[in-house]
Amino acid sequence: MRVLTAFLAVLLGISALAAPIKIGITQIVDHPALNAVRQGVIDVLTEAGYVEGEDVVYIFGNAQGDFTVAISIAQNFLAQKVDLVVSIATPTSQAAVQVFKDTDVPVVFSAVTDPVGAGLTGYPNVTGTSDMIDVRGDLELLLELVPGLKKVGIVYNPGEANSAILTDMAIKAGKDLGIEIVPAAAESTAAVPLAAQSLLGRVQALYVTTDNTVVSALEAVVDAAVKGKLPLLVADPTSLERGALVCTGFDYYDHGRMTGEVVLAILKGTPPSEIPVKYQKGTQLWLNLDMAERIGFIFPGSIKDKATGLLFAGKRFTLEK
Amino acid sequence: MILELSGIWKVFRLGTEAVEALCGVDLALEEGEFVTVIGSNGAGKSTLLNVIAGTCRPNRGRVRIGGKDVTKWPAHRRARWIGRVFQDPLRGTAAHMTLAENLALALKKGRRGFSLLLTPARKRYLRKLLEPLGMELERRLGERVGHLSGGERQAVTVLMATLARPKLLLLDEHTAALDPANAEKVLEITERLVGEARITTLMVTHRMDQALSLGNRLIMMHKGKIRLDLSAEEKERLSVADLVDLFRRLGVTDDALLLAGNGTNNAGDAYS
Amino acid sequence: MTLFLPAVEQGLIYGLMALGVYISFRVLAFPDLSVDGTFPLGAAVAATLIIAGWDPFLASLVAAGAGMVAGAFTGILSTKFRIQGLLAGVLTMIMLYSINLRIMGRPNLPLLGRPSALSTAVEALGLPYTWGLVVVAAILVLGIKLILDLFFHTEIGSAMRATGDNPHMVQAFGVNPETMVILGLALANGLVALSGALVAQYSGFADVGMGVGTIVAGLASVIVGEMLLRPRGVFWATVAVLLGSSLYRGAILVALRYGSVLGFTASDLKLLTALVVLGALMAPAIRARLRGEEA
Repeated sequence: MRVLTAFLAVLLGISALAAPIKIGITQIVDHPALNAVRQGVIDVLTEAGYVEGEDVVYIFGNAQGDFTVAISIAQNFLAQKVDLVVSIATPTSQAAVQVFKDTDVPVVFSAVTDPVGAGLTGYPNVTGTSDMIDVRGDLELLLELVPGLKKVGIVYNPGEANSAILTDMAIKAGKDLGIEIVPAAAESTAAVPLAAQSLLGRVQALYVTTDNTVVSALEAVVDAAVKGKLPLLVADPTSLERGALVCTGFDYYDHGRMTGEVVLAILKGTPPSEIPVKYQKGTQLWLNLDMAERIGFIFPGSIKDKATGLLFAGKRFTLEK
Repeated sequence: MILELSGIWKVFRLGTEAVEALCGVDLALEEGEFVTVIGSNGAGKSTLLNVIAGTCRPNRGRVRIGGKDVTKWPAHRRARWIGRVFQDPLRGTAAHMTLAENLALALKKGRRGFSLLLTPARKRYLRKLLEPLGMELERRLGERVGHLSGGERQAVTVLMATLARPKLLLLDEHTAALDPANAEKVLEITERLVGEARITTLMVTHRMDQALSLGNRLIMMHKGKIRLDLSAEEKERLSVADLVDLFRRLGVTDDALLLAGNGTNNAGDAYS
Repeated sequence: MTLFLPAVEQGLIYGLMALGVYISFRVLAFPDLSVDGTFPLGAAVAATLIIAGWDPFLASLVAAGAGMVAGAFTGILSTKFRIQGLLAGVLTMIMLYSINLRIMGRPNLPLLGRPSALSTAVEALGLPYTWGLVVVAAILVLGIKLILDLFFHTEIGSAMRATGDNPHMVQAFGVNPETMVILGLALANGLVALSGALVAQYSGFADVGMGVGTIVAGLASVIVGEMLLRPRGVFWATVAVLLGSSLYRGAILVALRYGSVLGFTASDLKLLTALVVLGALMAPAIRARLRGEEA
C-alpha cells in the first residue's frame, strides 16, 4: 500500500513538474496589428524553447469589440487558473487588471498607448509595453516634407482612448511647432470617408495615428489625399501599400516580440514589479514613391537620407544604412 | 341638461374629397333619457359619438356636458363623465390583465396614486358586481381577460363603462359583432345597469326592432343631419314596417338599413 | 462550478438593465433603443463623479437620475413631438454618444483602485469577496425587483400596464397615455443607467463604447426568460427577466470556456453565444417532442 502511495506521489510530482504553463492571451478585437502582436509574443516564446502543447498552452480570448465580454474572458482565465495573462490593447488590459489585481498572477499588457492614464500602473503583478508613437517627431517630419506647413488635418475616432490621447498630444506639439491641427471626427469606419473629405481645402497635409477605426478604413483617407494632392502620413508601416505617402511608427509584430521578451523574463523568474513599462522605440520611415508620382510630390533630399525603405513599383526596398 | 350639442359641423378631408359627416347637428339630452340612434351608413352616427366623447373635434359648434363647455377638452379629460362601449369586443378591455385588474381600473376615473389596486375589500366588491351578470364571471377574477369569450368581454366592458357612475353612456352598435344569444345577454345587462343607476344613454344600433323596443326616445340620422326625433309615446305606436315606411318617405333608401339585421360598418371608423 | 457565480453575478447586475428593457418593451410596448445610450450614460456619470471624489452609492443614484431624464426625453419626443417610438429612441441614443464623451472628457475612464459601491457593501457586510459580491448584488437587485413588482400592482403601475396593453381603453378611464409613456420610459432608463453605473464599477472602467449591443442583450434576456418560464403575472415576469439575464451571461461564459473544446476559435464567440441561447430555448420543445407531447 505504501509503495503504491509513494508511486502515485512521484507520478503526481512528475506530472506537476511537467505540467505546461497556461498563458491566457486576450485581445479586444480581430485586427491585423493586434494579431501581429499576438504572433510576436508566441514566436519569442517558441524560439526560447517553449513549445506549444508541451511546455506551454495558450488560451485565446477575443472580445469582438464588446467590453463587457473582455471582463468575462478575464474571469474565464481566472477560473482556468492561468499562470500568466497577456492582454492586448487598452480595454482588454483594464479588464484583465480588474480581475487579476488582487492575485499574484502576472499580467503583461501590450499595445496600450497610455498605461498611466488607463490606470494600469501601480500593481505589483502588472507590467507591459506601450505603443505610444512619437507624435512630435511625426509633425517635425511633416514640417520637413511640406515647406511652410501651417495646417495639418487629423482624422480620428474620438471614441478610441488611444486615439483621443494621441490627437491631444498632436494639438499640443503642433502649438509648439507653429502648426494648427484641424481634427475631423469619425465615430465609425462608415464615417471616415466624410470626415476625410471635410478636410480638403482646409489643410496642407493629412496625419493618421494608430487609430484602429481610421486605419481600418484607410482607403477612404487615401482617396481624399489623392483628390486634394495632399501628403498623407500614417503612423503604421503596414499602411504603405495601401496608399500612405509616408509611413512612420513601428511594426506591431516587433512590438509583440518586445512584449514576448517581457513574458520570457517573468517566466524565468523576474517578478513583474521589477520590470518597468517598456515604450516602443526606433521608429521606421517608409517613403511611397509610387504615390509621390501619382500626386506630383517630390521628396526633399534630407528625408531620403533618413528613410528605412521605399515603396517603388509596388515592391518594398529596404535602404542600406 | 346632461348633454347639449349646438350647431355641430364636422367635415373630413379624404384626399381631394371632402365628406360632410355632420351638418349642423343640435341635440339635447335630459338626465335619465335612453336614446336609440338609427341611420344608414354614412349618416354620421359614429362621428356623433366621437364628437361627444372627444376623440374627434368638430369644425364648428359646441359640446356641453353637464353644463360645462367641453368642446376643446381632450378625450381623457372628458372620460370622467363618459362611459363608452364599442362594437369590437376586444377594444374595451386590456387583454393581458386580469378581470379583477380591468374592473378595478374602471372603478376610478380621477388621479391614480400609489395605493394598491386590488385590496381584499375591493376584490369582494368586484365579485359582488359580477354576480348579477349571470355569467359566472365572479369565479374568474384572476383570469386574463384575453381568455374570455367575445360576449363575456363585451358584458365586462358594459359593466366597466358604468362602474364609475358616468354622466353619459355611449354605446356604438355594441352588440353588432356578437352572436344572437350573447347579443341578447349583453342587451339585458345593458338595460339593467342603465336602469339601476339611471344613466343617460345614447345607443347607436343598426336594428330597427331594437331601436323601437329599447329606451324612451328614438333619433334617426341621415346624411349628417337628425331627420327624426321620436318621443316614447310616438315610437310605441310604431312597428318596424311603419318605421321603414317613414324612412322611405324621408328619402332614405339604404338597403342595408332596411334589412333590419345587417349592420356591419363597411365604411370604417371615420364616418358611419 | 466556477462559471455559476460569475454568471449569476453579472446576470443580476445586467439584470437591472434587462428589467428596464422589460418595462419599455413589454409593459409599454415601446421599442426603446435609447438604452444603448443610457447604459453608458450611467457609466459615464458614475465614473466621473467617483473620480471627482463622490461617494459611489450617491454617484450611482445620480447616474440613475440622469438615465431617468434621458428616458423622459425619449418619451417627450415620442408623445409631444409625435416622433415614432423607434426613431425617438435612436435620436436619444445618438445624442447621448456625444454627451457621454463630454461628461467623461475622454472616451475611457479607468476606475481601477477607486471605491466601488458593490465592493464597499461587501466589505461592510464582512463577507469574503468570492461570493460576497453575488450576495450584495442579489440583495440589491432582488430588492429593486420586489419594489417594481409592488409598483405594478398599484393604481399608477396598473394604469401603466394597461396603457401598453390598450392605450385607447385607458383614455376612457381618465388615464393620459402620454404621461404613462413618459413616466414609464423614465423609470426604464433609470434602471438601465443604474445598471451601467454598477457595471462600470464592476469592470473597473467606463468606456463610451460600452453601450453597443445593450438592447440586444436586454431583449435576449427578456425573451429567453419568457420562453423558459412562461410567466403569469408581474412577479414571475420579473423573475423570468432576471433568469434570462443570468442565462445570457452564462451562455457567454460557457461559450468562452468550452468553445475551444468543440473546435471553435476565439472569434466565434458571438456565434457560440447565440447557439447556446438557441439551445436553451429549444430544450423545452425538444423535451416535449421526445415525450410525444404538443410543444
